[in-house]
Amino acid sequence: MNKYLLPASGVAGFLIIWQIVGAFQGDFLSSPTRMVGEIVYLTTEGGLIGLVLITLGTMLIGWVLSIVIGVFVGFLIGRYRIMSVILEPYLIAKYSVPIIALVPLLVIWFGIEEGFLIATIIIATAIMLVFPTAAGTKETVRTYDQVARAYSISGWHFFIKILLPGSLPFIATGLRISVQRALMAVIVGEFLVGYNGLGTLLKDARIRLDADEVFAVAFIALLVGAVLTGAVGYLDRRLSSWRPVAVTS
Amino acid sequence: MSTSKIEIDGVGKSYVSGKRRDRKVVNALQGVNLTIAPGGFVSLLGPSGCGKTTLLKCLDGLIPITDGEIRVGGKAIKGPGRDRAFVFQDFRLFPWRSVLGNVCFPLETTVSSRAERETTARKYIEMVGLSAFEKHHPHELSGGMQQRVGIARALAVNPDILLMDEPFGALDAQTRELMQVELLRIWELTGKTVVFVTHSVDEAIFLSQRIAVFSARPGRISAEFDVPFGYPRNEHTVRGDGRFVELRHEIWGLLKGDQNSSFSE
Repeated sequence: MNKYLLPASGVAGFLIIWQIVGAFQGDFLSSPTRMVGEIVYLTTEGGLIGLVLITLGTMLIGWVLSIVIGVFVGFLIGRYRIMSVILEPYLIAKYSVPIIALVPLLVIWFGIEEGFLIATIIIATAIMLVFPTAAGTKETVRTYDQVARAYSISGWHFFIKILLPGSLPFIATGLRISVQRALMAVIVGEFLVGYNGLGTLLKDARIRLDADEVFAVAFIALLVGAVLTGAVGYLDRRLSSWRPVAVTS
Repeated sequence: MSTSKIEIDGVGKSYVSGKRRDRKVVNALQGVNLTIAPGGFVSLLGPSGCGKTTLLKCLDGLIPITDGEIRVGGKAIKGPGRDRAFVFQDFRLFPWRSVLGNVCFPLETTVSSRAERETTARKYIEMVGLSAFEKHHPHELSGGMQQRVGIARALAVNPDILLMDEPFGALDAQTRELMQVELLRIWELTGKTVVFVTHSVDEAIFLSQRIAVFSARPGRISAEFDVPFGYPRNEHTVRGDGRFVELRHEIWGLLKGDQNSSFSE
């Protein structure tokens, strides 16, 4: 009971204070009621649901591609030492260069429509799959290499029957931490180029200095993010159900 | 034609260890000779680091030897083969597969019919006494039960030879004794040739027909003993027998002497 009571009362307190302060400084700070009013307006008049679906669709395409690329690279690094030596400088470079610095390049390469958004998601997200997958691959090879050889399992069979299921819990961790990042990346991308979706609403709000709309979009993004995280968490528990920790917790 | 199942002929294994200037050649095994009869039960006994597990892995073909030859059924081995199966000390089961799935695993590349694989697997799951648990996952089983799965998985490929690397080393004393009796029962039932690595003198005597005692650096066989008991064996009669105590004393003396001489080096 207390597990929910404390955070719930915290949120309630925050909403009350926001409502009171918002009554005086509404144009700067909006307020819960103004935000809800804006959400209702955007839903009925502004095509909010359509925009959410567009953002979600772009995000899913970009996220799935990030997973494919990230898992593939992580697998190469974990399985072949030479690949980790070759790829390491690029991964470090990827970590130290801010994504925003790459935006002009991405615009030159992909334009300012969906291609740009998907490229942005991949650049922001794929790396988050690389290291968990590499760790899982290394661990699995270390544990099962001799088992596989003792029972003459190699090549494709080793990959499908041992490497993939063995590193799945690690990949699931990567999925969990990357889904939020992918959503953020697509919204920021839409905000930057003004191409269709939740981020476009934010861009409009910025132009019109509309605090209500900013809070409305932020709240919707929060909601979508929570649903996605919940779904991936469920997937994670399913994929790792054989792990004793997952069962007892 | 030879009457031995396994012939280990002047086998040596050396590898280079350390980096750069500290590089040196380590002789894990040197001049190891041993022959094992078909259906025999032989233990490789010695302190940790003496090379007994290395020899077992060489026998399976997991580690290449650098000297000599290992023949199985008269033919020199080149790598792992279906005539031999390995049982690991820490079980090495697949936690994402059920008991049935684990035992089916080695058959998946050779037997195309799923029903046929499961029939074979069930036969061995029954043999190790786990029929009621075939749908369980490894983490739901005790250590002893997990190693039973490991043994069933090895038996599933129907090998002539079982190579067992301290299979009961991770188990508690009571489970260990129970598993020893079980192993003898399975051995008598199937007639496999068993090579059993252990550092327990009691375990080696209770189980085997013959014991090869190792000494370390370089790893080699320092003595062989015949165990003067027939089968089936019984805990109480074997351990209470004067010859058990005598043999135990003799082997211990050998191991201790070896340890003292390696300390004084």
